[in-house]
Amino acid sequence: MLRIKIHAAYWFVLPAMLFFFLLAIYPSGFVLFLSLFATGKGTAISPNFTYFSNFLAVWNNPNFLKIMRQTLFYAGGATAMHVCMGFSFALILNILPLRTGFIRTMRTIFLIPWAITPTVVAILFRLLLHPQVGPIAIFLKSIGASVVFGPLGQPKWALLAVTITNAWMFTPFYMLMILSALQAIDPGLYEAAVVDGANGPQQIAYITIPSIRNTLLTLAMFDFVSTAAYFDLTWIMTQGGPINTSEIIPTWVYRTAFQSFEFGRASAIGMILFLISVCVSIIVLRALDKE
Amino acid sequence: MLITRMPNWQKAFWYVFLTILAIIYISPYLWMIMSSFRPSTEPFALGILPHTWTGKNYLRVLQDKELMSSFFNSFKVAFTSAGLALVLGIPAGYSFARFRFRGRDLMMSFLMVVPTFPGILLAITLFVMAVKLGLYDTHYPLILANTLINLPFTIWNLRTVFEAITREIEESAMVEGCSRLQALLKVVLPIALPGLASTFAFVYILSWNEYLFATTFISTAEKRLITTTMASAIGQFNVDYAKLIPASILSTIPLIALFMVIQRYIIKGLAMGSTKG
Repeated sequence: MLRIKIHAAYWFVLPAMLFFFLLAIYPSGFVLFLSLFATGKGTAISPNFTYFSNFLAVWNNPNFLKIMRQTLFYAGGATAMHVCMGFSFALILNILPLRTGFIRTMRTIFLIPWAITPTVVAILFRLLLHPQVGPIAIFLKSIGASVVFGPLGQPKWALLAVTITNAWMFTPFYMLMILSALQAIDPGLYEAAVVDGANGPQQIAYITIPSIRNTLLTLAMFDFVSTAAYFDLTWIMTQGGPINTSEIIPTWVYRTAFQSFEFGRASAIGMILFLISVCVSIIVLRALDKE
Repeated sequence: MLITRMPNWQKAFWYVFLTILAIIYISPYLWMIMSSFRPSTEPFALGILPHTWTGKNYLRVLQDKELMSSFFNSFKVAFTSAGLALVLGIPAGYSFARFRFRGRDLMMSFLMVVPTFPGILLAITLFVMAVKLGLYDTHYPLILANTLINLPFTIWNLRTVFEAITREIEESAMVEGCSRLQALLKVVLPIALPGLASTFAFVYILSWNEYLFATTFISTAEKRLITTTMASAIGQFNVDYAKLIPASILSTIPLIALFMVIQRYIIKGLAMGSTKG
């Protein structure tokens, strides 16, 4: 009986695992191969045993540290905004004694930005921030302000504009996740705290945040790692420009791979990103284990 | 801190405040919807909102051959990817929900690791593979890539769907002489239909929204998806806003509506990853 069960279980997971093996495990090995051995251009890749030359070239690139810093700013800034705003919205929706139907409607409306196609979000913000056709620029002109408003074309502001767009789009998702964590907190904890005389802020500091600490940390880690690798918004909004000021690692990898066709070099940059992701994940998961 | 009592005037304040906050939050999108009715002859500088309203722009989008073929291509790719994800995900999700077996935990944590692999690296390898297999500039690598990146979520979500169904149902079917597979197909799946449909819909939405693979694997204009067609339209020197904005609205509104219907079925599967950490 037991033997049959084991067999059935493996048969059922086999198709999915085979699919993963063919299209995920094999390719990740292939990328490692590219990053270590492939030099030159094009897809006719022949191994050159030059080992770390791709990684060294990336390291020696004068823009390397700058793009790393920008990626850190983009991913870190967006993560901070997602978590802070998501937590505030979720908290408001969770604690007020308003009608459930109203709260549910609000939650649904707040989710809309996350349901919009990223390409359309990028187009939307390119229009909003456009120096001629954008409503903000038109408004500023109508009140007689003399500033030129077009942050996506300005080296100083482009990266921040993309970061805020990202925050607008993805905060709803984190609100949703934090809200479902808040709803899972035992109401008895709050009742006990009220009996002990804790006020609102104290309850947030000593009950709410400790209860969802693990969820927040996991979310922030997942958020940081996925935003650092997020390509769509930046590419459609600025293509990494003006003059590289909003370039982040994924757009750099894309440029190297699909505009210069240096697949080995591009894989090496991508591997660095992946290694950083793995390190961040391990650090956060370790912190969780200490609980 | 679950506030239980609050004077009515305070409640009224919160109702108004939250409504205004929600409207402000989605106002960029509302602006886009209203702008889609601006006549193509009216200059933007005339004002933030259109002075006269027209539906002609939508007619122009519907008559535009390139946009319509992009919509159809997106539909084809998203529908096939979602179908394939279900075909692969149903048995796997069922297996994780019902059986305990050696390697189960390892496989499930593997599913959580897969999404941390940068999509851009996947794009490089799949691109090189596609070129070598002669599949570049076809929709096949796109469908496979979409299935691949959405399969982990599919399996997680279907697992929670199947776990919510009691074992006795299929056990009694097996007593009556069904095999495990027959019980799954004939008894469990019909009950799981709402969960299956919403998982399908969510993968459909994500595949429709996908941009990176779509721009990497396709070069011919007729084969482009709607995301790549719109993204290249905004990058041009003379942007035809009166066509691009209504096209953006047409490609998002149906999905937003669909998303609102299915959201309560997928929250559990989404939250799983963050709380199980």
